[in-house]
Amino acid sequence: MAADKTPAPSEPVNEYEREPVPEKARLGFTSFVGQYAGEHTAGTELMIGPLFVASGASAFDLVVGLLLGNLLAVLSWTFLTAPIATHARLTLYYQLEKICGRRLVTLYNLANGVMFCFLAGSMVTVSATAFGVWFHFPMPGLNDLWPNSVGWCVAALGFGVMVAVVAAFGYNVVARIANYAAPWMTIVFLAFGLVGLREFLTATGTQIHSGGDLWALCQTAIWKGGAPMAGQIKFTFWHVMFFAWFCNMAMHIGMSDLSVFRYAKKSWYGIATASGMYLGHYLAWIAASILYALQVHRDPTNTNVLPGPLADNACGIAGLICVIVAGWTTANPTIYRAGLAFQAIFPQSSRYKVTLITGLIVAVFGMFPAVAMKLLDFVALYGLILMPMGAVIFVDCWLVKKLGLVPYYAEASGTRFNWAAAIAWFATLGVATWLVQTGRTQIFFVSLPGWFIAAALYLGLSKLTQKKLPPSPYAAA
Amino acid sequence: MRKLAQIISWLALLGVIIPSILYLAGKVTLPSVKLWMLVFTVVWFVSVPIWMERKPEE
Repeated sequence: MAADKTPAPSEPVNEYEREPVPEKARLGFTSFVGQYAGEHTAGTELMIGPLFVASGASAFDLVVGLLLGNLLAVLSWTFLTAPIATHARLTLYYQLEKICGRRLVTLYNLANGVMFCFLAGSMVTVSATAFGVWFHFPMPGLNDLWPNSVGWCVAALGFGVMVAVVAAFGYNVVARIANYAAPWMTIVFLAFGLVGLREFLTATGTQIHSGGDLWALCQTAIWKGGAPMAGQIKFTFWHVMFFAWFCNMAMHIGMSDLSVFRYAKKSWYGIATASGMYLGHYLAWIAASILYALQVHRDPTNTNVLPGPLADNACGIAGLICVIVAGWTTANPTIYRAGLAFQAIFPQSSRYKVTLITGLIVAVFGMFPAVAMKLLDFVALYGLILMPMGAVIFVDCWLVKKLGLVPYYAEASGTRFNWAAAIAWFATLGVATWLVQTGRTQIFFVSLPGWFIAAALYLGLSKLTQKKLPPSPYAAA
Repeated sequence: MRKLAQIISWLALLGVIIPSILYLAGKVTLPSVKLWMLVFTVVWFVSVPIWMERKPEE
């Protein structure tokens, strides 16, 4: 997509921010295939794969759970996000502003920006593990939440500051490197899996003569299932499936990718997300998990999830470059998006300044391994926090008018804070928190009932609070 | 030039993956896999900027 919308020298293009994308700017199917394949083969995949092993996922749970979970994610993009995006053709923020009012969107931006900072911090953490291979400083363990050595702090902070400066002043250079690196990274991830598999065959003395032999190796040596490692939650088939479905919940059900698919000529282009799901969230997760399982097989006491050493053992310097590039190229747009979110709150500040400060905050977060080591939980939380607004958008687009209510209510009524949307958001998060805290469900599953709660609350509250107004918008959109 | 660079790039990608396939088949050693992956990684990153994201010359 970047190639089609040739950007200015120093920052990505953000066209049509307050108007529907016109027909001449719409993009073909392959633009989305490439974009999703690149975006979802990220540095964090090297953390997530191993964490499945640490959580005691079995071979069937992992292979089939990921297959189905990723399918559900693709279907969510195709049947929830893309139809609304191609219907309204507006950015998420502008559409939310029309529904919720400017003040509530500011709050949403704050939540989104903070989550982006944590996510980018975990990407910095991943890349910093590559430097530990060269400089031999102690690196964080699986259950470490705090930095554990001066060398680690220097590496993570130094790398994070560099990423921050580049995100502020040289965004497009890294964006271009990201495009160059995307096909190569996918191949290197595949190589991780192939090398790991060979090492497993050697380590276990297994001979493979059939698919059955390979499956037996997967069940008995690679993904053995059983109890999780200390400090980890046990992952079953359902955990794996729901995690794969909801790990990008902010993007599909949460509707962040309205901003992406507003450029799609057809709504069925949502299936292009399969490239990202099955290369990044299937192949890459499985490959990374094989490398970690091999490490634990060789030394059961070494439970550290450190992508740098894992990649180095499998593919040497090419693997280390992959870890650095994967973390950097995905942290770059994440910092930029966080900067944009914060800039909307402080519109008088320069975009460069806001992005630089945001990047420096990310660099500090990157020193703390807490988010990276608890990435499964964090990703679930990230989706949960932004999901209710996705439900609000869905209801506003498809149901509100049919029930005799006013869509784009904030715009139509002139309110800057739509209380119906705000209460739907906060109450859903309150109920979800209560369900998780009281042990009634786990954070990996709570977003599913949460979506229905948010949708029902928004409808009910709109019915109670909306005043009679002249009819408005979607018909015109 | 563009066409040649494209061919070299795609061959480089093959060069990145083939050593690991050969390693899985037990035909090469791990140090040689690491070496050839690095060599073809360099070839990929040198050749790909010549054509990727650049419009073909008229």
